[in-house]
Amino acid sequence: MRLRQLGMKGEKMIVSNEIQHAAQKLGQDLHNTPEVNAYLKAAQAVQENAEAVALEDKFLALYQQLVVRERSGQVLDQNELAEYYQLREQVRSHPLLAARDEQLQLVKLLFSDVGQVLTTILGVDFSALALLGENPG
Amino acid sequence: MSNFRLTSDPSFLGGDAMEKMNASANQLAKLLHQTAEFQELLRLARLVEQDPDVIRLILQIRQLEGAYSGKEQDDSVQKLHTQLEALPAYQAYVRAENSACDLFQSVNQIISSEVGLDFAVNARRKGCGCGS
Repeated sequence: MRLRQLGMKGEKMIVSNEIQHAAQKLGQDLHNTPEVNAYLKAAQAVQENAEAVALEDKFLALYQQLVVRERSGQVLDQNELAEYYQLREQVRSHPLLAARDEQLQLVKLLFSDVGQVLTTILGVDFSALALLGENPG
Repeated sequence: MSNFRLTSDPSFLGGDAMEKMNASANQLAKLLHQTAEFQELLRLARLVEQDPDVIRLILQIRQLEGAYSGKEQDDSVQKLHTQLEALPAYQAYVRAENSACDLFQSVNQIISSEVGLDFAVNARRKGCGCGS
């Protein structure tokens, strides 16, 4: 991000005890929600399934590889694209991966609502400012 | 498609749980608002918004970026950015923004470590682009 190139950045800041406690409290409240609980369980189930992990790793590796090649100006051939779409479909239809991703969407809705509370009071987008300068995910 | 959302339904988390969470978020936001870093960011944002040189350069950049795409245009935009970044008012604003970012990043790390996954990344409405 352009702005962040101009000054010191990314330094871990020591926050006041009051802010530390308030942030911990919010984190604990979020952790105790059904959405986060269900997501963490679903993510754990994926981690414990070697086949699901291997499938996702393979898909992400291919995705990264294709993105790098496309950005370097190479034209991707039909077979590579077909493999990509086939793998993506396998990832989407894998029961454990699909269940985890479904739970993640609910977590995102919840986090987005809570983030909106922070943003409304601050008048600036909390998440955007917290992530400014980091690589987009 | 229905706009109904489980998280907006008080009976899902339980009204008390949702209220508690909103109260926690409110409290944190109020504390962040009072910090020197955030107050400085607000002060410098107001100043930079009124700086005629900053306004002129930003308008020129937007006009160019909204026009056509090409190498010549990229060079012109780059030159304008360099001029913008050399302005003392803009530099002061960017430094304040960096400090506020560091503060917010630290707070996000605390929240995320309690939750078990990254709060800010998952609070924004944007995917990774891989379509998975």
